Amino acid sequence: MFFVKKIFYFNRQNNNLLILFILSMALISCDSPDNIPVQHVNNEERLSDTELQQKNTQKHTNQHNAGLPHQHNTFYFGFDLRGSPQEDAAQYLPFLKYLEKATGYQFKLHFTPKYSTTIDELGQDKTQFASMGASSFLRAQVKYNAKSLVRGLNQESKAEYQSILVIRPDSHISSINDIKGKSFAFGSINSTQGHLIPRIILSENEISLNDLRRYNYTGSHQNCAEAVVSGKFDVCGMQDKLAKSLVSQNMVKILYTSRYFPSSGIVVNKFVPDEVVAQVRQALIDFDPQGKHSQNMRHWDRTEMVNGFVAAAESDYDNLRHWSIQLGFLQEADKPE
Amino acid sequence: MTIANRIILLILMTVLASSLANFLLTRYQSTALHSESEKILANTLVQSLRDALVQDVIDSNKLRVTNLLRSIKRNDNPIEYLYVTKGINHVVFAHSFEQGFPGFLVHSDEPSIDHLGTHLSYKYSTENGLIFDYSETLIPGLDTVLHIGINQTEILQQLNRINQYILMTSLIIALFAFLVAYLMGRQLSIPLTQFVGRIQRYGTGESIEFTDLKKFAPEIAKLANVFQSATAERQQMLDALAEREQHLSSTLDSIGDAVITTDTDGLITRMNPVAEHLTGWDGIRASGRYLTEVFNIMHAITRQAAENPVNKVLQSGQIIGLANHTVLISKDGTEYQIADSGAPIKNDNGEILGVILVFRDVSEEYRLQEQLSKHRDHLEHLVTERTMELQAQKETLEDNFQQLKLAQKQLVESEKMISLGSLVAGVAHEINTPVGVSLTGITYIKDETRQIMKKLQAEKLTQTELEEFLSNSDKMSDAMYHSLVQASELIRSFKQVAVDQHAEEKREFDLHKYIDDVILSLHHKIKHTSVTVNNNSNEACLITSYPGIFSQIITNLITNSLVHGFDAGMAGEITISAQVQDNVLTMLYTDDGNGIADEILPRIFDPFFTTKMGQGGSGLGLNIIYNLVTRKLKGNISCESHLGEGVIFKLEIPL
Repeated sequence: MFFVKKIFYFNRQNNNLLILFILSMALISCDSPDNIPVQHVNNEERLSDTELQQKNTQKHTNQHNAGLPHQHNTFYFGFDLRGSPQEDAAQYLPFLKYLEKATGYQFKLHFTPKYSTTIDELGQDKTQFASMGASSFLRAQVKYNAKSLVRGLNQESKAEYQSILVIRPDSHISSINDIKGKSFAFGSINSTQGHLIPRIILSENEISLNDLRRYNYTGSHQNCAEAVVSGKFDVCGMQDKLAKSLVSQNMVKILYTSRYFPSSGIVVNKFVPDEVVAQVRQALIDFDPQGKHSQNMRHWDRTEMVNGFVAAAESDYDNLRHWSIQLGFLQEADKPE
Repeated sequence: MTIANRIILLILMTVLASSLANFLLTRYQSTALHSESEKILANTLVQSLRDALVQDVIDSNKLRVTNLLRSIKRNDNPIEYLYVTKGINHVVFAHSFEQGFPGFLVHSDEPSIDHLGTHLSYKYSTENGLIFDYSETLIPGLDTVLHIGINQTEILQQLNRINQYILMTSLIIALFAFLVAYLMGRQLSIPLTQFVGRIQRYGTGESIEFTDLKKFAPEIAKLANVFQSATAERQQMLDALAEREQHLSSTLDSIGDAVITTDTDGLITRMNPVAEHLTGWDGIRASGRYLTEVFNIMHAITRQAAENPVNKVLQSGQIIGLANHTVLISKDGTEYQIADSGAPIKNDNGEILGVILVFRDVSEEYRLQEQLSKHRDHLEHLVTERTMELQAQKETLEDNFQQLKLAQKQLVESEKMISLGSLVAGVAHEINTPVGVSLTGITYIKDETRQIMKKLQAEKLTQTELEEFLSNSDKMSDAMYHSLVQASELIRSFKQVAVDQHAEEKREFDLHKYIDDVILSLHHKIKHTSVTVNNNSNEACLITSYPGIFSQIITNLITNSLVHGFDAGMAGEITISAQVQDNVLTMLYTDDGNGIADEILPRIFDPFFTTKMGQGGSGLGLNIIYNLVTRKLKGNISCESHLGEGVIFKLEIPL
């Protein structure tokens, strides 16, 4: 006590000493930069992969039993990966934030795994909403009773797009008739612009797959373009937007441009309640990425819905459905009533 | 504690605190740096693994992810484990453990929150050491989280080594600082010790020299200068104080009253010789004793001890006086009747420093007072008796006075009647002559007329007789006419004066002419003397006033002059002058008679004052004039006179 009194006596004489003392005390109290407690654990208790799987399953079951996710107003939104996951996530997350704000529901991002399809993810309720092209939608509709909510508006605010057949700039191919006997690269087998529409172009020009020297599915528009630029294939059928971008860089040149077909849209599976569907559809129609909702959007102009959405109608897909059946992608029996 | 020791302690404590702060700060910085480094390591890992991991997680390539995580863990680094969770429930997707996944890492209640950046999530204390669990969401919105466990054992050992090094360094610095402080303290304390010694001597009042201390540090030299100046100033003040003390002491000793001063505890600090005499105490012996011990006072009649005046002063803070009948019992038993007062001694701030008691021996005064009191009582008794007698006399006097006033009134009326009677007698006398002349004349004319008529009837009348008769008749008629005119004039004047003496109404009149009338009315008195009366007043002097009063005033003045101013047969002159200026009439009445002796001059206006008592003087003439002038006319009258030099009466009357 005497010592303490002395200390304070000197403190009165020297404020700097007091500050030092307080600082010391403060530093002692701030010894640890965080407030996370140390947990004493048993490192010996280990779970085999099977036990871990059981635990995971139990978690999933618990979640499912609890009605998760969408009974708790959380919905997964499925997208096909276009670029890197990080880039795609940065592109889509602001859009999902907009939907959350507009509807009051929670939306989670989901990218389709390599060994699955957006269609199956939607059908298996791993996702409740998904962005997909017309071709995929027609399959999802047939297979899982999916519904198209809206179609994307392109740069010209049209709900339609084209496919473009591109060749190398130094290619000797001058017309579509020249591609007989040439190698042809498609994008994903489920792609509208990368497969269905190019097949329609070939069919309309009376070119069958057998007329081609060889053909292959590269999995994506990017891979398809790479195949032509690298010289592995002579022709690539791909989406119009990427094709025009590559043409502007003199990477490829256009051989043939298709007519317009219904653009990609947002599709919902059959498990989502009607009132949610209605709310989401309205929020999508109200979405104005170039106007009042442009803030926080990132690279939205790279998508096929540059100017937002327009409500989709069943009849929009009649022509493509016809071609899909004709080309054998769908069975005649799959045609909805 | 000496200043030197304090300096040492202060420096030591400063250095210790500084070292402690330095140690803690360094330790904190090391820990923070380490924490930050770990975070950077974890973040770098996440950044490098992000794309590969995310794609594989999206594609559910569990084996690839597991191999990747294990390959990282196998490297020579403090990473204890890595694992990836996915989904809203953070299901473990892949991990780096080869012997099974630790149960403690399975969190059932982990919240689904997208953390921005790498952060420390958990701290585990295991058999392998302390493990910090860092985690980061690989892609926001995807619920894929990479967890990295970093073993802290090696890092902590390194930190401890650093801490020990810092602690040792701090201790060495503190030791060195202590040594420096000790030397500095000693160095500083030498002049200070000398200073202290001198200041202690200075405090005892000794005259100290500080000049030789100027050889030390500038601060000490400055301090020495200050103290040297202070010493000189103090000496001057002490001298002045001693002088004042001596003066005060002389003053106190010279005071005729006894003076005692005390402090606030009632202890005596000073006594003057008178106080010593009255209390019987020697001042030096009394000093420091309680006042009540020395100043033993009690009530003279009740013999009860009186209240200590010091207490009363201290309680009230004001000047107080002793109660009456206070007796001071001297040390030898002598009793003194005292009167005193006590007052607080205050400093400039109004704080009470003590009490001053001033008292004096009033035994003799007290005795005289007692006697005086007895005499007063006796006198009061006598006065009461005398008052009663005087009251009776007063009543008698008042009756007499009333009778006197009545007599005065009667006398005044009598005087008036005498005056009027005299006037009437004078006037009758004056009229008698012309009337006699006229009667004689008319009798002559009647007789002569009869004689003429008889002669006419007898035809014996001659022309010469007729002419003589006519001539005599004419002369006689002429004489009769003048006599009757004179009589008529006299009657008019008499009538005017007589009427005005009783008339009280104001009217406008010519003062000059009026004075002439009054003089004429007194002609019967004047003509028997050798005195001439002159009217020098301004002619056509019209004023509005009471003419009767003026008549009475002038009559009385002339009568007074004739009676008192001039001896029989003595020639003289009376002059009356008057002029009006600024609505004030100034009249001067002068005679060149005997004048008035100085000793009686002040009494001439007193009632019943006369030098001719028993010789016809009533003593009211001038008194009546005085009353008429001052009361009736609201003016004033004064008289100048010396024996043998006549009189001058000056009247000033507002109009």
